[in-house]
Amino acid sequence: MIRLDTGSKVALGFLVAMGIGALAVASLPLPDPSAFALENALSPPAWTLHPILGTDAQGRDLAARILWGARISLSVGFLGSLVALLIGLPWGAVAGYRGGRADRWMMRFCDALEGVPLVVVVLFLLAILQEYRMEMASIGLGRIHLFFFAVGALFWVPTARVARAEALRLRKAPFVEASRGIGAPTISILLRHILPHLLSTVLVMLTLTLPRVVLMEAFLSFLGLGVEAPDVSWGILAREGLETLNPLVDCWWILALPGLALTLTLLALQRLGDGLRDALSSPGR
Amino acid sequence: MNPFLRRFGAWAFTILLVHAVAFLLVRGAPGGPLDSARELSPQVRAALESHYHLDAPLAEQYARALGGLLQGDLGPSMHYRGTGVSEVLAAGLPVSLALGAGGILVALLFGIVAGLGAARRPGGVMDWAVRSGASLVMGIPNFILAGLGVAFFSFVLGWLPSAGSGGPAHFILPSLALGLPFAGQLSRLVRTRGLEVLAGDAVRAAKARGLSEFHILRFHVLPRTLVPVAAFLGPAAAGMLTGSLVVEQVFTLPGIGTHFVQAALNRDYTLALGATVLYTALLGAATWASDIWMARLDPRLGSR
Repeated sequence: MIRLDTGSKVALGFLVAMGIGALAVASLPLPDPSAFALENALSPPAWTLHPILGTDAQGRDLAARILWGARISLSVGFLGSLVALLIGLPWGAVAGYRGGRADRWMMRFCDALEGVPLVVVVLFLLAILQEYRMEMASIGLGRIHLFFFAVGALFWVPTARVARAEALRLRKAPFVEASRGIGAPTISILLRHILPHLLSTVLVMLTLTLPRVVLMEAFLSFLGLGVEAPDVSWGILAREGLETLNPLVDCWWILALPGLALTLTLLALQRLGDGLRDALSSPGR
Repeated sequence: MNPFLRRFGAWAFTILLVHAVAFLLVRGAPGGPLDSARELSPQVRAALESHYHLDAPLAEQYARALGGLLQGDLGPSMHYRGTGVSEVLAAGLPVSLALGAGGILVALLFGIVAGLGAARRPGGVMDWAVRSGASLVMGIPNFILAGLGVAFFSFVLGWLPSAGSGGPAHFILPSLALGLPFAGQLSRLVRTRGLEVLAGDAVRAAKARGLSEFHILRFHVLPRTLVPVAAFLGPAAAGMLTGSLVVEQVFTLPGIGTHFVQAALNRDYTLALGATVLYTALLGAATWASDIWMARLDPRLGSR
């Protein structure tokens, strides 16, 4: 059983609450997030009454938009991290287990990737792949799916490094040597002995990759290259908030509240990841 | 082999590789540069294609692009008619470099001062303030930080301009928004290293000689915290490069980041390609500079 410290428990509680809010938003007593109501534009947060968190420049309810945004931001974050994990984990496990020349080349490839401004390259790729949207639409792929590949390409390297370190340690473990001794094929050793032991690493790396992916989604949507307008995500909300802000009307909530939701989520994920790592690596578990 | 040459070779190879891959992607994309809203007559189209050598075999096109790259000519922009990509980027580069320099300055200044201040009395008020401040600026995404900065300093207080690139004042908020998250990370590194140095014999001896606390921090502790600082600058440069994309956008600074994002949205792939290559070159140069500085601080690291 994993024993978490208090800070991680608080973080986990916050994330669970946010997740439930995002899942149950459709049945909460909140207005439609895209229902225009220009007569209510930019009402300040009422905290206890409707609109709890105020409205935006088109009079749309901000609380509803933040929760609907959480749906997209969190699910994109989760799936994107899974893609990164699916690339990084086998890469690192194979490099670490095989060792020698394969390991050197596979890790050299990771080093080389660090010399490339990956975010810029991925932005470039996303832009170019727009040219193929007809072809992709015909096989049921949209911009959001491209995003997962982009994220996988960006964030798998740290997972690969951690997985490699673990696999290097495991390949000298007695039970691995024993199954090698009885002639088990490499692929079955990797699947049956190495991967199961990487499980706690997987959990930690997933939690630590999540905030980076959520931030990346917000970053791309903010630039106008991520989630597209009728859909809501925290990056879109931040973009709209910044566009609405002006010196004449006091409307701080329009940027500050989506920003707060994003920041708290990122901090909670980071805290939970650190807490999990400590809990899983401490000797007394 | 000479480490300098090897380093230069790796740098040039990375740039050429990124350029080649990007070139293939641009040429392979189904939408060509001549697919504008207006229908072109076949003759005009053929004339334009032969003018831009788009009818040549791919290898020849690549050879031309490569030759152009070596001469600093990245071809015509698809969106800004009649303007070369190199001209657009050359116009944006000084703005982006000024922003990057401002961000690094902010990161170094705030990070080192705050880190040393925190290391002086671990567990004290200053230490607590620095550590919470660092968590805060590292946690808030920089576009939110930038937006809130604009809201407060430009709109509420009216002290600083909110957008544009008129003069030095226009760079204060963008530099802070870009540099503060890295100042947060740096303050942690400096604090950790500073605590080690402060607990060492050299500092005890300096105290015994009756040197002032400022003198000890400035001349005995600071120089020995610089190796992790220099090591941090390489990755930080990569992070700032990403950050500058948004910060330029928020403050409407006409740097290469703004041009790049606009190019991606306008389907101006030659400009996007040029910016990608330029960013790769800049990242390599920044990592290199960080390594050179590290080697000067600690000659043992130079032989690698």
